[in-house]
Amino acid sequence: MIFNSFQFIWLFPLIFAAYWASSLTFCRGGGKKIANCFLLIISYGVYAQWSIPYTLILFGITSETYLFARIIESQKAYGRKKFIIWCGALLALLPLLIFKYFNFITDAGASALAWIGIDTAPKGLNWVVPLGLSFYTFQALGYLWDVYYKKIQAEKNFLDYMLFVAFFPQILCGPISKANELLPQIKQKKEFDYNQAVSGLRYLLWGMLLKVVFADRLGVYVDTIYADPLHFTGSSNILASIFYSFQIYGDFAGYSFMALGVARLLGYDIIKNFNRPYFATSVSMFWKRWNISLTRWLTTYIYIPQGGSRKGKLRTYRNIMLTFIVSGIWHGANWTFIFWGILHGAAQCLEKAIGLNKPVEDKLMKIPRIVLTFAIVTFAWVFFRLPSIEQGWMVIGHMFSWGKPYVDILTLSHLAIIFPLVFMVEYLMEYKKIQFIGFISKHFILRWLGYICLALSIALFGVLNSDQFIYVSF
Amino acid sequence: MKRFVCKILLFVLLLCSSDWILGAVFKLYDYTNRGEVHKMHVLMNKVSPQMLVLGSSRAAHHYNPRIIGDSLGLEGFNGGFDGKGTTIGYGILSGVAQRKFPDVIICDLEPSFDILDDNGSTKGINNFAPYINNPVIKTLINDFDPNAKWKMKSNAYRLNSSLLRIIPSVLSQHDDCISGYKPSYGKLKPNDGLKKTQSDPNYERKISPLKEKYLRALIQDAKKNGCKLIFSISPVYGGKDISYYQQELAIISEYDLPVLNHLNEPSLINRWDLFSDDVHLNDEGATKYSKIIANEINKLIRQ
Repeated sequence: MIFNSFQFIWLFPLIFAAYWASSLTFCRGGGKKIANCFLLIISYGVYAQWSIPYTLILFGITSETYLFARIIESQKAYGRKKFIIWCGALLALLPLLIFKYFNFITDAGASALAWIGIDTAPKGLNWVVPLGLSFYTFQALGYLWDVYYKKIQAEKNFLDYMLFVAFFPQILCGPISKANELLPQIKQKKEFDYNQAVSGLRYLLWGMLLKVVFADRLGVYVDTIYADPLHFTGSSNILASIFYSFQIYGDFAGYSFMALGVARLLGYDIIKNFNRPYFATSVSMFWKRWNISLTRWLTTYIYIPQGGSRKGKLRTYRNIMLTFIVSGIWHGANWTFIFWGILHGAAQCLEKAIGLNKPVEDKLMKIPRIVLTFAIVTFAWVFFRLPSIEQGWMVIGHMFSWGKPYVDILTLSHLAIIFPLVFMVEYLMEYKKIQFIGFISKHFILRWLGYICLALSIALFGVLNSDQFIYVSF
Repeated sequence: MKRFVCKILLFVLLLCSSDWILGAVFKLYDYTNRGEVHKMHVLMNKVSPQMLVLGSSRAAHHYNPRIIGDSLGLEGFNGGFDGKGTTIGYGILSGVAQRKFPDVIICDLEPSFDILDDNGSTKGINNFAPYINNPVIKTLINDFDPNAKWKMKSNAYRLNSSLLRIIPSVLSQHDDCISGYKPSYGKLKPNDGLKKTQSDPNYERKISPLKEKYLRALIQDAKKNGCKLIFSISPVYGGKDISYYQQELAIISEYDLPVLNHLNEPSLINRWDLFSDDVHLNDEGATKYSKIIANEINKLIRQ
């Protein structure tokens, strides 16, 4: 059940009603437990709807990290603890290695052997990567390390822990929650909070608009050009690359807002994964605004354990590069993602070296810095989007051939309506510090008119084919 | 909670009312003048041609119904649409047939749109949303999207992606849909990409059972109504390997129907000046091709 599907529109109100009915009706006699069990069944049901056998992988990772956390907590000796955490982490990573990286590793190995004259023909696995595998694996791993670092106690209640890993609003595309944020909420008795639910609906509506109207419309143009980039002019490729930057934002932020909205409607607060990243004035700031939960995970479990910025400049640069290479690998089993990670890491090292990583206060300087950051990020997205680094360079080179851009009147006319709206909302939130989609929040009639217009815009201008979210495949 | 539920119900009520108003205000199809929305409206509600061309953009650009119609002594209309195949063609035929079943149908083949499962061409099914009251269209839409019967209750959904095409079409003074033919005026450069397109023999082409069902339905309806159904393959620049068409030709051969294969038509495929791009003839090329095909159809009809 993806959020932009017809199924979600009719099923979620039923889930909402049943969840709150069970939570509120039985509040004295263990309503929390019943509601949690209900959410757990829904979460596993949502996953099983896609693939029943792969639900076992979800269950396997959950059980394994639960057990290892309990064992780690029971150990006193540091050396043994360290050994157990590494065993647990590697075991949790095993499905990810097999499903996502096996072919990549064997191909890379075969290429390396071919380079020294040994020809091998490795047999690849033709297995589909379980949906959301990278997200829930990282969430479970984060929990395991937090227990190891004694930031939290190991969870005793297995059902609560199962819900923590499989919580359906975030299982497919994140955000990656921390155990100390989500587990206490799972244990808490739920009271319906009107304001929380209303803000959840707003996020749901805005996220849907970002995905269906904004991202998927841009996707029509991007897919046309990137299907055969060299067939189109350089300006078409430039336009498609810029559009892709916005498409991936609308797609991923749209999902994250919808996840946040659904969670809030169920009485949960999860991390807001995006904070207007294209208003960032440096690549370093961009990563404080883009996929915030992943950045936080990488910072906590990769960057800081390696020494962070505490051990001199060179070590800091090494740590940044290492962190972003891991980020690249996390995104996919292809050299393009690693290269994309290297580009982001290198840009941040350079910014740090010349002091461009700090926030810009001067209003005049902000605009060129925002444009420059956007250009760097867009350049890196080209490699992220295309199947090989060679093709990425080919497209970059082809951009200089100029020529008239390909015009898709229908897509561009839709964008002429939606783009100013998205920009206006983001601008007002960034610089006027208004609350979320608060441009319609002052007067009751205007606010409701705004909601109705947004809802009708989705039906009128959206691409309603229930296309998958880009990040689901990561 | 009560307050929240009441407000949700109020929102749903207001949304449904707005949706109903939107549907009432934007019943503008009768006032459209150009573009694909207008062409679809004309086909579904107005014309009753004796000769109908069906197919994709290659049909729309390649078959001039005036030339073919004059040669046959029949009034013709081109019902080809960009990115659409025989499934959409079947829907169009159901609209035209409400008034009169055509005597001759020319169906230009394009397997990826007609029968293969590798193309999003059936997304065009939603173009039929305004004509959901036609029982054939209703079945067709429901076949491709089982939830359509619910979605189509919304006027906004029916107008999805069409509104921004309808408004300029209504405002336009010029009717570009006299015969449905859509001439293309560009020209390739000399020897631009001249190579015979090869089909990848290892490429697995999966047939869509639904698309196949509607191809067969089109054939059976034509036979039942005594209509002369002629399949044709128009030329591509530099020529193309016919194997790409084999699966579709195998289905057609079961019904013993004529196929006019001009995929590698020697008088056209090497002429860069007759093509606007690799797969589309320009107006000059279409005129020549229409004359060739008109002659052959004439002979077939007189047989």
